[in-house]
Amino acid sequence: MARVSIDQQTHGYYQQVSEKRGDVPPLFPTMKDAFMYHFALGVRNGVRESLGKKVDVFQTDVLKADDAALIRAVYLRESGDIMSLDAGEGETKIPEPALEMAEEFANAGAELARRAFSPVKPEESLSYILLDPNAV
Amino acid sequence: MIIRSVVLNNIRSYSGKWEIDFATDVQRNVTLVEGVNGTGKTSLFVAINWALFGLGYRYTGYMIHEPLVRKEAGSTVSGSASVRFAHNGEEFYLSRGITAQLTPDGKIVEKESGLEMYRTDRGGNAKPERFPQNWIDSILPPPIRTFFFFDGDKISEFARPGRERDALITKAVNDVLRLDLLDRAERHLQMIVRDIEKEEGKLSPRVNELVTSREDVRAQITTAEERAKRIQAEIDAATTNLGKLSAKLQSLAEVAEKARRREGWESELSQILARIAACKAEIMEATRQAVAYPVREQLQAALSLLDERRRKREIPANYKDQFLRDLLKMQKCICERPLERGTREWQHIENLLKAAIPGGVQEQALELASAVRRIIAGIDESVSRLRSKQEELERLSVSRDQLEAAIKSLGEKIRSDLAEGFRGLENDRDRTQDELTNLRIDSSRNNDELKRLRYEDEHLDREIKRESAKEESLRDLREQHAFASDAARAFSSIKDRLITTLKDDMGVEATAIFKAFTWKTNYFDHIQVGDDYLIQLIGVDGTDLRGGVSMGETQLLSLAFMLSMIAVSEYEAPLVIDTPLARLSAEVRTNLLKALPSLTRQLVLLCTDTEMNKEARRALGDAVGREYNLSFNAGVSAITEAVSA
Repeated sequence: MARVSIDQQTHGYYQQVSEKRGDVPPLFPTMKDAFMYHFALGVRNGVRESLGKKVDVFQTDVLKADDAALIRAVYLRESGDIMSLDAGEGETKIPEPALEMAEEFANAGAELARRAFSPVKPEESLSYILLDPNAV
Repeated sequence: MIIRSVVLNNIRSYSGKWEIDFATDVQRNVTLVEGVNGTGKTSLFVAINWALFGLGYRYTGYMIHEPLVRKEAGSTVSGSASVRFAHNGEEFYLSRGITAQLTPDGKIVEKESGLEMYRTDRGGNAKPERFPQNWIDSILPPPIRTFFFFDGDKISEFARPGRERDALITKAVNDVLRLDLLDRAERHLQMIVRDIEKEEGKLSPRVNELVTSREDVRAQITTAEERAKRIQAEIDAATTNLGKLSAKLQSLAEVAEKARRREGWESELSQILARIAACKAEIMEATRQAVAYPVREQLQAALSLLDERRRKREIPANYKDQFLRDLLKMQKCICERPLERGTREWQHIENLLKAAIPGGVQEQALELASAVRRIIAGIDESVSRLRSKQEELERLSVSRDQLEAAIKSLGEKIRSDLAEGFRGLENDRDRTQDELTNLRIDSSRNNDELKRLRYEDEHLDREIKRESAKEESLRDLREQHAFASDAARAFSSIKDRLITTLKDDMGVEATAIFKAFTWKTNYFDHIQVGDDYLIQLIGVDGTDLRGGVSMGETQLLSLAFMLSMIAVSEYEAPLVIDTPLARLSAEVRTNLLKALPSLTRQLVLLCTDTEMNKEARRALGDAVGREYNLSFNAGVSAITEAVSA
């Protein structure tokens, strides 16, 4: 089963946004949710960044259909080749390069978000970052 | 007093019992006792005096018969002298006893052993008297008796001034004139005057002083009453202030109302916070759901790409590929014309089949297009929900901020109210309470002072009333004082007049007596009793002749003076004279003896033989009622009654 990784430098931030804060539920219930959020930010802002030291955060089987569809659609958009959708025998129907692309977008998106993230108003900041391209 | 008899028993020079009766007849009133010197005349004179007047009479030697005591050494010797006498119609028997003992050192100790008196009234009833000496003193007072019983040799002393003589005469005059009564009355009045003066001193008017004190006290009362009013006003003000402060304190109940309001707000805030928390969770949920929003364009582009392929019918191409494979298989065109292998049409169909997208990819593309379309369709809704939640969160945050601010403000207000209100009010209240307490203490003290001043005022009122009464008493006392002083002066004046009269009377009497005695009747005019009862022999030329008189004449003057005293005294008692004629010349002696019996009720003469010569005896004539001769043999006197001439 393929694994999804993040850069080690953003691992702390990931933990911050995906762990329980006392009695308050985590901002993102799973690492996968956090990953998808930052992936979207990276895509919107058109930034990709290769991962340095990788930290595996989840396996691809936790990705839901819509998550996979997002990654594949973006990958399709990026490649412009419908044949890129061919995932071979993979269970997630996400080609390996698409996952790598997703990791790079998420890595850059996490970096952007981390800078704009407000620990005081985490929900507000994360939602505004999502909705406003100028927020990062 | 008329002496009837005298009995001597072991007295003086008389050993054993000797009795002598006295002449009592009015015409023959002279008892003559003659004896040479040392035969017992003076002893008899002393014994009579002692019997009547006791040891108060001064004498020399012992009263007891001394030889007997010495003879009976070791034994007690008794003696007595008794006198029978008549007075104011009653008969008296008086007996005075004495005991004597010889001491080892040769002295004789005498002791009066008793005095008894029996009085026989006109009815013949005799009874003992309890206080015999008082009787004797009342019959013949001590100072007066000096003028009745005297030593002829010593009477000249009455004519010479001297303290003893003056005191004696003054006392005698007082007795004669009963001046003691006046003296006592005068002294009593003077004492009353002094007492009144003391009372006046005590009653010295204090009314004015007390009234002044009372005015002071009343002024203080007025001040204290005004102070009490002022304190009460301050107490009322403080009480009112205290009430206001208490009301203010009660108004702090509003704080509780604010606290309740804050509690409501806090509850509301709590709900808002819960809602915010929920909203935030919803925002995050919506955020996660809207995660495709940022990549919408990319999704749209991917979908366009896929749609383009679909428009080109590259997907799905399954039926077309099957149709082409069927044409090749059937080797005939759709128009039924034969399709031969190797022809251009055949090749074209084979190229088409070679260029076709694999079926798996087509399925994935279709599936992806469907998913992307669904995702895109959901983006708006999720974004809309996210925005809605954001707005809600914003509203909630505003409400929260407002509520928090309000709660904070209300809290501060409450704290401020509590801090300022309680502290200020409590301080004010405490201060007012202290002030009130002090005022009440002041009031209490002032009331005590007022009470004391009112009590003092009442006391002064009573004092003033008492002092006013004293003033009335003082007026009475002053009247009494004036009366007593006047009375004392009157008594003094009366006494002076009585004394003056007495002196005049004595002068008249003494002049008559002296003229009867002396032969120098042509040389003197009269006898005047001057101050201090000194005798002044006033000559015919009005001068005092006393400086030129002889000792004999002085004796006569004294005798005249004493007889005048007896005459004016109105006392009745025997005139007993021891050696009356020693210094007198024959003529004078004759004159004296002729005149003397008529000048007294009873005359006892104790004379020496030279005094009582024949001529003298003749001068007495029939006046002699009893006559005795004294002799002395072996240390013992003896009395022998002579034959009356």
